[in-house]
Amino acid sequence: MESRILLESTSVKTPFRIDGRKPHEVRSLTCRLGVFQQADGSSYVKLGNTQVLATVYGPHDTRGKSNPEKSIINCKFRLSTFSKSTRRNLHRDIRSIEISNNLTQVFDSAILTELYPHSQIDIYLEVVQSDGSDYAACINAASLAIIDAGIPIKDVVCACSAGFIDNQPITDINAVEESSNGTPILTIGMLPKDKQILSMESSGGIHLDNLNDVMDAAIEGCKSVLFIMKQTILNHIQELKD
Amino acid sequence: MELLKIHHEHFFSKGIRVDGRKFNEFRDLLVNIDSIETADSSIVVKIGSTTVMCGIKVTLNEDVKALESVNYSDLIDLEIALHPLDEDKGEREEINSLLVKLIKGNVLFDHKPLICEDEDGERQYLTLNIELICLNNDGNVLDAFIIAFLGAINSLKFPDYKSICDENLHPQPTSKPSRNNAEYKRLNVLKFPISITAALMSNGNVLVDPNRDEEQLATGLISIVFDVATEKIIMIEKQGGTPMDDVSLLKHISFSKSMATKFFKTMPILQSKGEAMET
Repeated sequence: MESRILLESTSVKTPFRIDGRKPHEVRSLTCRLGVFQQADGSSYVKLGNTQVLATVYGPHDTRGKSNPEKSIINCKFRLSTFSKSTRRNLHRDIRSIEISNNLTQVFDSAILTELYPHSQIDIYLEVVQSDGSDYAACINAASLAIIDAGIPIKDVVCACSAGFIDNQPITDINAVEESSNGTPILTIGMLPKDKQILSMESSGGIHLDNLNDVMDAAIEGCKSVLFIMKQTILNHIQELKD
Repeated sequence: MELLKIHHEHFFSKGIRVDGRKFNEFRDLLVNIDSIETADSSIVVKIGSTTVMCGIKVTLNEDVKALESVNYSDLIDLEIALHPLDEDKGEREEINSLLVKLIKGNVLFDHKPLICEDEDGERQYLTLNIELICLNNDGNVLDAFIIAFLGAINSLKFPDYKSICDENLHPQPTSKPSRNNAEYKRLNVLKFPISITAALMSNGNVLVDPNRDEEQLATGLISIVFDVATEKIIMIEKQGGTPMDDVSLLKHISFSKSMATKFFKTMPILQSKGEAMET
């Protein structure tokens, strides 16, 4: 199935993407903090049509193994069966396990775990609707939920994906672009203040010369995501004050 | 736990509950239909702060072709996620089996639209992939699940076998299913189960629609599922060791029945679709 993902516009020089965005445009992002009362911290992130719910419990006593030096991070990622246009089989989903493990590593280094020895922090993520960039949306949702729970974290962890189509780096990939043939996808999760990259995951072939451009596109995306996230957090705190 | 009990009992002695409700009062119900575009039917139900979600996807079913006769329950694939966002495991796990018994054991809707014939006259079967997710557990998840299931089945629209088959052969990578041109089918719901759960306290009080604290304090829980269409009882489940004499049980059943009918009438899922309404 040959499909042109990047559409050339006749009047403007910059090409437009399939959903009408410019190459460096991030989809509209809506975040909310404190959506559930039972959890210590919770958040909802809607990135375009991707919707993610996150809850955080802890720090609390560990069940089983405990670390005397720092707290254990336990991350669970789950895709609901109706989240994609074709039904997903939950029982053989290796990608979910991979994302869970990646998220555990990201937040193990972002949270100040040494403050809570002998304890555990649980992060649960549920993707209710998936339209590409699930991993990036999950990092953003989890980081907001952790902030809502009041757990000390180095910085607002923000993430964004980027790809490379028709010699053009594009920011924030949606599901159409994700599934078109041979699109390289790069997801970066970073601590924006220190300019440190916590996680960088890429799939699909990309030439070394283009890698820097794609990385820059992802980092630019992170910055625009961070702007919205910070605003949401400040608004939430303002509401709590009132 | 002891403090919680004293705190609650202080309120009970005055005839109200901690959140200001009377003993026989439900929390606010909020229903939101078709909030997820990728699902064929989806619903979010909130009872107070208890939040559950139900999504249905209709897919082709190749497995049942080998069977000699295909029953109602073969065409339902039920998945219940009780604790996807919750740390408490093992609490009220029996809800799982209750729901399977209720949904698969009773013929709740007419399943004929799920059986189609293709051009060669061969029978093709469709499956309902139902997933129930508990997003926030603040007590009384069973009632919320049943409302969510009923609402999702009621608002389910699916195209005929052919367009689902085409979609499988040429999957559309977009999030929205491209089924605009196809004609939709609906399921004819035969039974309308509505469940009323109450918590039995040690001092004899019966609290309708308990929240999580009350569920933990309760010595027993009683759930009665009515079919509102025929006004018959589908299921009674009484857990816990609190004894209850037959007179008060019958009284509770008749009270629950009137409650269920009233409850059903206020529900927006049958009257208007696609908008959220608060009762």
